Amino acid sequence: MDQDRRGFLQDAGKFILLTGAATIAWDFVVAGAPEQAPNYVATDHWWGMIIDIDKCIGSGNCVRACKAENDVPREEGCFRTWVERYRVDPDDLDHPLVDSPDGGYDGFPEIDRPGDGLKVFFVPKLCNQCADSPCTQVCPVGATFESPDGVVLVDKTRCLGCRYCVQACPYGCRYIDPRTHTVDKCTLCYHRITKGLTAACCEVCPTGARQLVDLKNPEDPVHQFIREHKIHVLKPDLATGAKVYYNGLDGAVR
Amino acid sequence: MGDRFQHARHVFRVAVVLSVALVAFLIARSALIPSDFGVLGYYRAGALDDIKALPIVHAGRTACLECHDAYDPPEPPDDVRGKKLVVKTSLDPARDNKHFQLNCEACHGPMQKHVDDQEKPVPKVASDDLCLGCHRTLAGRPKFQPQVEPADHKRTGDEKKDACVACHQPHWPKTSDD
Amino acid sequence: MAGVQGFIYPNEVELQWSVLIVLYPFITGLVAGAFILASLERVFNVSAVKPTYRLALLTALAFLIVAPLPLQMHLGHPERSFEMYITPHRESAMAMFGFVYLWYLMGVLVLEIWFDYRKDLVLTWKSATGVKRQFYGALTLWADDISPEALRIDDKIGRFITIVGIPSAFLLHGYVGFIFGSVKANPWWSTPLMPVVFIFSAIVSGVAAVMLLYMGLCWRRRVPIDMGCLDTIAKYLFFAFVIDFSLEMLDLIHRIYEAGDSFGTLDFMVKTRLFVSHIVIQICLGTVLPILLLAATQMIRLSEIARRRIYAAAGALTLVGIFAMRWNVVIGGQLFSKSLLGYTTYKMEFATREGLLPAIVIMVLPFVILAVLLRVLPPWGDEAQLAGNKA
Repeated sequence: MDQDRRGFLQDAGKFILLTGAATIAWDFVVAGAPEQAPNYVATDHWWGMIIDIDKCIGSGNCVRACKAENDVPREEGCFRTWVERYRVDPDDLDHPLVDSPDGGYDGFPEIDRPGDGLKVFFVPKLCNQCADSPCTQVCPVGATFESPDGVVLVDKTRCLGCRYCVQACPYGCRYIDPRTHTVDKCTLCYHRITKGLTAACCEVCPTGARQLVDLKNPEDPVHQFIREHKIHVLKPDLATGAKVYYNGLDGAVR
Repeated sequence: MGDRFQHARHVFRVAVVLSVALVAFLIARSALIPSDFGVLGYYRAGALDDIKALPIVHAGRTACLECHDAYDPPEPPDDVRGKKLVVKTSLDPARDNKHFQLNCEACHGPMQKHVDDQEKPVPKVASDDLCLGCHRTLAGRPKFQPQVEPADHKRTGDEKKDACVACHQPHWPKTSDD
Repeated sequence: MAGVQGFIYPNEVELQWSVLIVLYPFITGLVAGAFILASLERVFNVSAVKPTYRLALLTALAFLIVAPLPLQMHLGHPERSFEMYITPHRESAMAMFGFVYLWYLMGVLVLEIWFDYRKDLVLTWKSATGVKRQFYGALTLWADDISPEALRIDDKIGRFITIVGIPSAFLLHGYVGFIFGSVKANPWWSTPLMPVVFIFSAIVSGVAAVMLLYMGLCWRRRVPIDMGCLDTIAKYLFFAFVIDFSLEMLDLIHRIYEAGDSFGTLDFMVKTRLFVSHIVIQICLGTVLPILLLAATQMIRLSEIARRRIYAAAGALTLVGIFAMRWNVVIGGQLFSKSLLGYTTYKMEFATREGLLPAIVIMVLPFVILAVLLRVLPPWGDEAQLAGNKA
């Protein structure tokens, strides 16, 4: 009897110890997984963005937030997103005046007074996450690609820095990171959207002009938005399958 | 090897050299290609995980409201008891608050560091430059956006009285009709 | 932003591809052109150019060896360039080009040179001593059969390789043209004519280079120039030039006539920022003038000295013109913004990784390698005999 009890106590002790250890270990296992995002399934999503030009006030919040969120260098020529200001003279539609001081990082200085006769508006730009992207087509080593959920990403451990993709992008959204000598671009805040957060630029936009959308989600407001507004993509003649949909995009926008 | 190939031995040597080089290349290739390459597409699948693991810098409005919701104040947890939790006035849509649509970090900047460690305080950021960044009169801004020309807007000459926050509470900015 | 005119996208402030990427198509063009000249004799039995056959092959090899160097110096991570061979993206022209290059180097050029030189290599091996003997033995793979039957096999194989080598040479440089011509984002580059223009300008530059080298080396060796050879080379240079010029003019006229949405921007760029390099150097000095000079030699009976001087001048102008063409394509394609609303400038530095100094070194290097090759694989066996027979 003593032997059995001792055996039982030993077994029970082992059981408790192991369960405790397993519980603690499980915490570590779960800690490595995305928080509050139980098993993100990429093929359930098809990401894009809608940008409402009629709402953009040119605050530059998005440019600043993107640089902070993604550790983008402050050097000249390194922008994952930027804002352009168009000033269109109705008598000279072929030559709009465009500026983007430091990408719009500090907003825009006043040039005109309202009522000057020019049509002025702001156009935020970013990687269009093209479904038929010319940039991923030309990468020689498969270092840039489209993820299963529709985001064009860069594998920084494989990029050679040949810059062919920078040449192939019609929208000028790629740049070379001077610190890593690899290419960099907007990732649609992939590290955020896969955890249920929205992109940093959308988070801080004061008027809601920029909104992340999931085209595969039937409840996403994008479907109604596309139905109710006149939608445009940039450079549709190049058939890139761009997934950034603009409302109110004037013909002057390049 | 009959008579015909007797004088072609040098050709076979070349063929052997090239074949050996080809085989060596194929072996090196299979050793060097990452094991997860080509699984999801023509790229290294591990790159997706690398990017997903990048640090979050902006916490997002939901995270802020977990502690700072004046409208539906939470029970303060032990470690922040006594610290200021609730914002002074409510971001309450029912009271027609024009700033309700603004996410907290649009003005306060990235706050994930504060969420991770509440010792790092949320700075007060009310400065004229911040307000004017959105509200300065600027050609091209849509009409629904309230815009002021600072030089013409209720100037008294007293610097303190002329600050934006002297009349407008940032979390519930009054408009001129109020 | 200094040098920016109008509006450019914020990321376009710096040019992506520098003078090194101008050198690359220039060098591979010389390779393809030199090989086509060699194939004239081997496949098309234009026996007049035989004195330059081996020289053309060695020139091609010297330049092909140097060709990857400007690319390596340009890459952000040259240590990863092997990835192009282990995970080549089949949709990318640049990736496929890696294999075209390797094929051309090993499968065509090296093999052809080996089979053509084999007899001389074996003879040198057998008559040398010490290190030289080891070296030449290794080069021959220690196969010493130089019986008439073996040499006949060599000749057949060499001919076969050259036949395969002609489309390979077209592929080598046509691919480089395709790398530019297939970029729909860039209206200066995007045209189906690009690979064809590149091939013919390659032939022109390669033939001119071998012609100049032949003249220069004859002068250095104090050996009389075979004028029959030189006249024939100049004739083929003239024909290739006429085709090349026609193609370039076709592209230009087509663009001007259609005047699409990019035309205004490109026209302004050519008339201002590219005026000297495009109109003056490439078209006038580098194409029209050499064509006129060569046409003169074809139509007017001139003395040997006059012809030699004209060939030398035309050859030199040709090389300058073809280099300018590469410059205008690569750099010109990056001087205007993809917004078509502005322009930037190319600030070429001197002693940086992609500056003028490495560019000069890279252009000198093939001649150094050629000098070594001329020692190790002397091409003049038949030459001396030819010269001797003439005397």
